[in-house]
Amino acid sequence: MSDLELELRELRVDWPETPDLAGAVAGRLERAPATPPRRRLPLGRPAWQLAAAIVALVVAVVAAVPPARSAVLDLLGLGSVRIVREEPQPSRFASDLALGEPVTLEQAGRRAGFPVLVPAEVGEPDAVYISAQPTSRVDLVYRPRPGLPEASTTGAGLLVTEFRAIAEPVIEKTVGASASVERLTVGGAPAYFISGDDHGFAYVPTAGGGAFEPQRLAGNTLLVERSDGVLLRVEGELSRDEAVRIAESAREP
Amino acid sequence: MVVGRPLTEHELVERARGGDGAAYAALVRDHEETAFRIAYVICGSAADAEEAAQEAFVKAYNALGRFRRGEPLRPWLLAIVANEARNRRRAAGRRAALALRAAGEGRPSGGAAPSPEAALLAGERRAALLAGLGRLSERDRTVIACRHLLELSEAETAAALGVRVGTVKSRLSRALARLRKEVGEDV
Repeated sequence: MSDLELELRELRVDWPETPDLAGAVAGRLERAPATPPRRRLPLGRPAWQLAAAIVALVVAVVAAVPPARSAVLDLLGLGSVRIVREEPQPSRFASDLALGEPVTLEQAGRRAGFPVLVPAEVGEPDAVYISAQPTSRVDLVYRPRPGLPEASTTGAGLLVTEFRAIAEPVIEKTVGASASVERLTVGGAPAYFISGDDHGFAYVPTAGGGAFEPQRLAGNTLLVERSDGVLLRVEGELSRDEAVRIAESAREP
Repeated sequence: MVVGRPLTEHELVERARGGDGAAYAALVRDHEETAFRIAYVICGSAADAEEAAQEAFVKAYNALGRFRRGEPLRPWLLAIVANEARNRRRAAGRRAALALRAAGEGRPSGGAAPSPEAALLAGERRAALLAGLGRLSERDRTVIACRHLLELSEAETAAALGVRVGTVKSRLSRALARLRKEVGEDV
């Protein structure tokens, strides 16, 4: 390398400040997610067709696995929650609890587009993640501690998720035949408590592309449909009453 | 505990391909500074560079299906950004000189602080180099900036400029010769 080249390398240039391109791009993708990178389902069609295709895909998957076909027992539904009875797959995603972009609680509150509530019962989370696809979602993760035993395989003690519910379909929770689903009301809002060993994972069909985004879950799950269109999920090795207490204590930090 | 493990670039790309906007934003975050600076060198204006880089990242997202798995992402992204910046520059029809300024002191080369005279001379030299660079053609200054200001590899520079590695070498040596002339050195 010549002297001139060495001199150039030693220059420190006063570059203009780099703008927040990641934020701007994420905002644009959120506003116009119509062109996902890879299309697994035909797009540019009415939403109901897409929804029907996603349902067809689920049916096809179930039908393709003979033991699963007989295990489809019933389909319960809240406005934006569906609970599907089928034998969940073993936890393929056991080592993966990466839930999106790690952010601070303040950033999550600014970017989620809905009030991010924190259960006063458990206090500030140890980690917060945000994701914009397929719907705005914030995950609060708590480390195991007294009162919050480690959920069997996650390494986490408690997972609280808040989803922006969209019309169709928002979340499906797959539960096996031996899991029990209990209908409740929490703070006046409809809720489900799902317990038993056999609910392996929940998945959110992405509105664009129809790919399933598996979530790594364990323990018992409480799903609460908040009146503001946000779905609250509390998941961990918790009894029904503990989960309800945590959900009821959710408030703006 | 697996909660805090940052995802690898490969994992982020896979998620982004599946429509995960947050994963894609994380990838943009990793490369936005270099991308913006290349666009700035090409466009000569921070506002144009911002628009070009943002547009390029959105285009790259939509083109992720064509990104070859296993390849490094940065050269591929930088190629799209540089291309968008050149298009924007052409469309604007402007030929503004690039205004680069040196940031404070250069890296100290020895332990002792330079004398005031030496520091002054070094400062003038830095300013002259950057001014000379700014007067070069877009093609010349971009190859020098990629290689020596942003310290991209030859392969990354080749991707950003859309040329072969051999072309980077020859273009760089010609650009350096012209820079020497600009700053009044013999070739």
